[in-house]
Amino acid sequence: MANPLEQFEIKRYAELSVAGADAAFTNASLFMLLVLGITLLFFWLGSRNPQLVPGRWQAALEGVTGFISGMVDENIGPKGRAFVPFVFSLFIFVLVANLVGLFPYSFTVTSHIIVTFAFAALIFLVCVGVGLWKHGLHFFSLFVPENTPIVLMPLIVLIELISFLSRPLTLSIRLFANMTAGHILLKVFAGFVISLAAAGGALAAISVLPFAMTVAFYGLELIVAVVQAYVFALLTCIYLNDSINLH
Amino acid sequence: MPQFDFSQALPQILWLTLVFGLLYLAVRGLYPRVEKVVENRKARIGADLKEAEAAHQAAEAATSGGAAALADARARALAVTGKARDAAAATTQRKLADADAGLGATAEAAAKSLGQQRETAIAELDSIAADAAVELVKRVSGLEVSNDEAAKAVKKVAA
Repeated sequence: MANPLEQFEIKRYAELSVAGADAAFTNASLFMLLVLGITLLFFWLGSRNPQLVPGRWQAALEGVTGFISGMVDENIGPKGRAFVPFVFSLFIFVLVANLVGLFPYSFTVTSHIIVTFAFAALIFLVCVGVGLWKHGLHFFSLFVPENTPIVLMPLIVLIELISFLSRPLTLSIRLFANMTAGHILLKVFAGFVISLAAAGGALAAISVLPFAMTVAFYGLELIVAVVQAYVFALLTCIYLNDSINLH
Repeated sequence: MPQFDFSQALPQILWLTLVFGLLYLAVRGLYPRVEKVVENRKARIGADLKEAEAAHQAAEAATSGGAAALADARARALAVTGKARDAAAATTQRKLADADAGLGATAEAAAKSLGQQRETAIAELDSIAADAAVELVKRVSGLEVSNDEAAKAVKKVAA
């Protein structure tokens, strides 16, 4: 049976180095570029000939941009307008990477914790930076909820601090774990189909069961791909809201 | 698990930085264009709706104006027909009264002439009676009586 972890392996296609750092062109690089290409294609198809009554691609693009604009407006408010392109970039990158990863033989960029953690760290840094820039040291009142009794203050601040610092971890692990687990499950069930069919006889007939399972899981994984991108963008909005509006 | 082989982390981070940076710049440039299209549509729909509302109100005003004109015309027509009816009634009344008066005069004149004729007839009756008396006296007694005497006698008897 094929190794279900094989799909996550990084394959180095070309050795490159930038200022002495390892910048090899790998399958991850290739699929990141593919994600970029698909996103740009989507924008091109959706906005090359804008109509008052939108065509299919225009309606699709405007649906996604309207969805993200609405999410930012709802969670941050008018002050969040400047962050719409940022949230949209995160959403579309994660969404397209998740969906591209569902094609057989493809590579899922978001199934690597280093990628998801890089995103989460970026979001964390943006949140802290925006908070400090907008509110200065007053930003740290984020860790002191209103009407906290003085006695409980140290404990509450500690809890708030831990929950704040754990945000990049939960954000990155949630996406990484969802994508990895789903792809492993798909691979395992698909491997069963091959193994059973290869065994022949009655076992070959049973291979229908894992096949049906694979199809069902595939549908579930499509939902997970979209939902995880949504959750990622939504949490980014919520974290940005904390930095911009301080609760 | 290949994900925890961090010897491959650096190229991924570098490529992600490059690709996501490009993606962010592209989105920042392209996003406002898409939003502008949406906003234009929203503005257009809003303007169209406002226009339709104005047209609707104008139509409503025209309808109510028409109704008012209709009511006015009806009232005027009623007034005119009423006046005409009153005038016709008055004319009829007058004509009736005239006719009544004419008839009364005629009847009076007729009654008067009848009375005169009767009087005349009664007056003539006396002379007829005198003539008859003269004739009777001549036949019965063979006497010749003058008309005057006869008339006197008749008058005496009639009185």
